[in-house]
Amino acid sequence: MEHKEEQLKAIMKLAEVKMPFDDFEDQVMLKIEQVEAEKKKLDRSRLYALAFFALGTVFGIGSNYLIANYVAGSDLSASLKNYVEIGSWLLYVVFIILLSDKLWKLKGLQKAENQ
Amino acid sequence: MDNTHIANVLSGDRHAFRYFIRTYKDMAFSVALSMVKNELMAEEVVQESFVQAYLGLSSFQQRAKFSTWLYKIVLRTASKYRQKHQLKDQEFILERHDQAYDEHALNDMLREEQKALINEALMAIPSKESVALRLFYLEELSLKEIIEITGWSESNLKVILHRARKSLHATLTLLMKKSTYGT
Repeated sequence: MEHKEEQLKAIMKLAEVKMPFDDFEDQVMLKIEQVEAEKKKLDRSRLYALAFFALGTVFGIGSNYLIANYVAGSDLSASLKNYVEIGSWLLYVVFIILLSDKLWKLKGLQKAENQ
Repeated sequence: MDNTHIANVLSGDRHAFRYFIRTYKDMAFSVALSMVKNELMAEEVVQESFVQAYLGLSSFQQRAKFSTWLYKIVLRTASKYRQKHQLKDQEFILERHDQAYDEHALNDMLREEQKALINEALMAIPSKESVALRLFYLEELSLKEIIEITGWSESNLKVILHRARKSLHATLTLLMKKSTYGT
């Protein structure tokens, strides 16, 4: 039995294969370079996405405040003023929810990439 | 040695990764070849595996050997590749090949002939068996290490190894007959 094991080991030693492509090492390094460049670009895009999201949130609050002020000073009926104000806030909330969803997916994508 | 190079790569020296490519490319290629049974495809698998290893190097916990971790990646990448390209093992019925193994016939052959024949046999047997043989006999990994790489249970691995030995002997016998008698 042991003899057979030794024989099999000897046979398997003959099965050693070598990578037949001479430029393999350079090809891998080139691919790594490309993937890294792509990753950097993606990271930058993610940073922009987050920055613009934060900016948009602040801008949305500001513009809603301005709209509310403007509407309060106008000579529209009280119920219409109310509708406009609620409508602008509702629009803002919908935008925030939609963009948050996109950011959440982006985070998930980043997580999957790191695994 | 591996740890020094890992530290170098992680500190930003991308070219330090060449050491790993140079050191492990042949064995990684050998494992990939067992899985996909084609040199070009195996090269693609190994290339992708090295890129994955590079990208995941920061998550590599140095409790295991780098080689163990890399072969795990190679096997996972090869499995995905097989699924993507719908590669399947050829039907291999052991009984059909089961004939008395003539070790003298193999000894009589030239070394290059032997090498070609053994590799042909490893390409013919099921991929799991081929991987098990290469890792156990060629790379001389322990059962524990192979279990860690493949995710198989110990009993499963022992069964696969047992079948692999039989398959290899049977296939070699068949191939030797073919090369002798041309049938």
